Amino acid sequence: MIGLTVLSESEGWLHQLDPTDALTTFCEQHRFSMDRYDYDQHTFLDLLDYMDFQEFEHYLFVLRGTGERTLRLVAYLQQRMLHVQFHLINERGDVLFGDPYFLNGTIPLDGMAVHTQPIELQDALMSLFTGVYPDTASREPQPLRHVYVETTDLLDSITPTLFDQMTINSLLYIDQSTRHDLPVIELMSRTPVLLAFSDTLPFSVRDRLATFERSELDAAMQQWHETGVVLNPEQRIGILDYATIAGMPASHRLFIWSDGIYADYGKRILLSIPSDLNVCQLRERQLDDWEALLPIPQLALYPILFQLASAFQGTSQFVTPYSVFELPRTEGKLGPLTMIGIQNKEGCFAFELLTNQLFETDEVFLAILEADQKERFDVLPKRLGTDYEAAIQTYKELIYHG
Amino acid sequence: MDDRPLFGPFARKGSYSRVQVLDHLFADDRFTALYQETSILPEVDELMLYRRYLQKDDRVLLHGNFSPHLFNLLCAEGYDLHLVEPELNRITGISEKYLNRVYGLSNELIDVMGSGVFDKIVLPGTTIARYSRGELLLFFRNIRHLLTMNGRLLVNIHNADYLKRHVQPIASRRVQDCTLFYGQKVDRDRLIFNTYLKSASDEKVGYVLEHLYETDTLFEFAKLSRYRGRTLYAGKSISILEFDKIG
Repeated sequence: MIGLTVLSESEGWLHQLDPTDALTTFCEQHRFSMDRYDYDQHTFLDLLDYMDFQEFEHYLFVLRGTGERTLRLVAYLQQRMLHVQFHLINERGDVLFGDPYFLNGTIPLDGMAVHTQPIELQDALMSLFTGVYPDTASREPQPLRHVYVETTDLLDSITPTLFDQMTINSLLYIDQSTRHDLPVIELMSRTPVLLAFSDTLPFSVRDRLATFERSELDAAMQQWHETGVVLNPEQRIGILDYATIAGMPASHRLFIWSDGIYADYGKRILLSIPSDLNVCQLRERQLDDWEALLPIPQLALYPILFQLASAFQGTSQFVTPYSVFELPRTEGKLGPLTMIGIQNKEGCFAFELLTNQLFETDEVFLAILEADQKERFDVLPKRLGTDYEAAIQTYKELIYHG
Repeated sequence: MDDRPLFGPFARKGSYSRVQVLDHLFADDRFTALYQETSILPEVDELMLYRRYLQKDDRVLLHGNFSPHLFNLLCAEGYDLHLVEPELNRITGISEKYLNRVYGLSNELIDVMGSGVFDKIVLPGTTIARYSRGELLLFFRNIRHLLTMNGRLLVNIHNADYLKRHVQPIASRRVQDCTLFYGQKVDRDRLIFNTYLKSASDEKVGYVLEHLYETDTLFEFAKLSRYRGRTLYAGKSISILEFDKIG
């Protein structure tokens, strides 16, 4: 059986492209199995298992655009799996790896949107240092995403299987300026991980994060509950080790220092000493984290509020179901929270959580938003007076019809 | 073999003599755990749902597919919950002190509790999905006698359109010494879940057939079975319905 997949690459991140009808027909006519694979959720080992499971004899990667990491991935697969023949061609049909002799005709790639928005390195580094990931769905075992290594010489002491257990779209961050010394070259030749160094970005993400002790974070969350206020006077973009300190159940990261392997950057949870590295045990130990400070939906929301607070001058008060604004706090409605409100000296705003869009609004809108979040429409006729019906109509149109 | 709802690589694996085909997926704990995990739709927080819609003085029957953790938690909070769960490995994790509230079959339940004793019966979406249309209609009728005169059904249903648009492509997990693969395929109004595992000692495929329902169908069945219903929550992936027993 011959598998065929189309992907693009941006700054080393791999993106699976959706097949068009023309491509699906082409695959059916040529008896190729059109294949899609999730590079965000699966590890290098998973991909090897998958190729074995599918019993492919040949597997053809078609790369739209340019990219060096795809070539490294294909070479890695070929090195690890001799019973499958891997091939890589670009969109012009140039063979970059292997010998796809079975390919007759041009593969129809028109209409396949190339992924133009790269997963920014900054987002990956934010996730590494805060522990907050956009996808918080729980699954066991949890995939290992980003790994921190203090210095390149530590790479030699790490069993290579650790890197095979990182998701394909994840980052190995080395806390030194860019270098290609022997440990790095050896690692690159073994596993096609994506590497970043301390000078890969022109600024340090870590330096832009706030530092909290667990008790301080607990107090800040109580303040949010009781007043709606989330303080961020230094306008930091996040909280260092937030997931660990807050007790979030997801754990996708590892920190490898010369004195041990930790679950967090702040070295609060020691998992292993470097010479005693068993990756499976280490990942199990990582799950023995702290009790969650708040219910998970609230823990997931707080970093967003903290980041939004940094975008405004002065103190921001947030309208959420879980905090006091004009009405007492609640546990929220059934279903996901889609919008929050913000009030500060710059004005009133609403933030759409699904689209990350911020728009300016007014006090009346925030009053209705809060009543909606807390299922307290009964308070609105008195609160809004004669404007009640028109204001409700405007709110509904905005919320339900964009 | 041909009648089994296996597709793609799962069908190929199932054709090999070395691979055991499980018609009853829940016979294997690893398949059970994987299926339970992949069936969860995170749109609604179940704990909040039950805290909101169940009263502590209600006697409540949960009909299958219920998280042991949630069962323990709600029982500890004082809810008078009872559970019918024919699959033994799905009650692993239920605290010993609450095991006397768990029944293997509805018959056992009636022997112990009698008829007409439950104020509410909860039917999770995964329970509904196990029944074909005819079976579901019969089920609605048959459970009437377990409810008190003013009893209610609380039903959550996984939205058919959403499931059809979010079919799980083939994915895998490594769990200890075992690699598990799973995927879904839509076949008319059925969602087919296939799974395969390979470990040092065994190699198996298994499947589950889920029937996809729209809320309209449930309202129709409820009416035919003499219930009157309403929608409590209509989300993207899940709807929650409540039905009053009539007469």
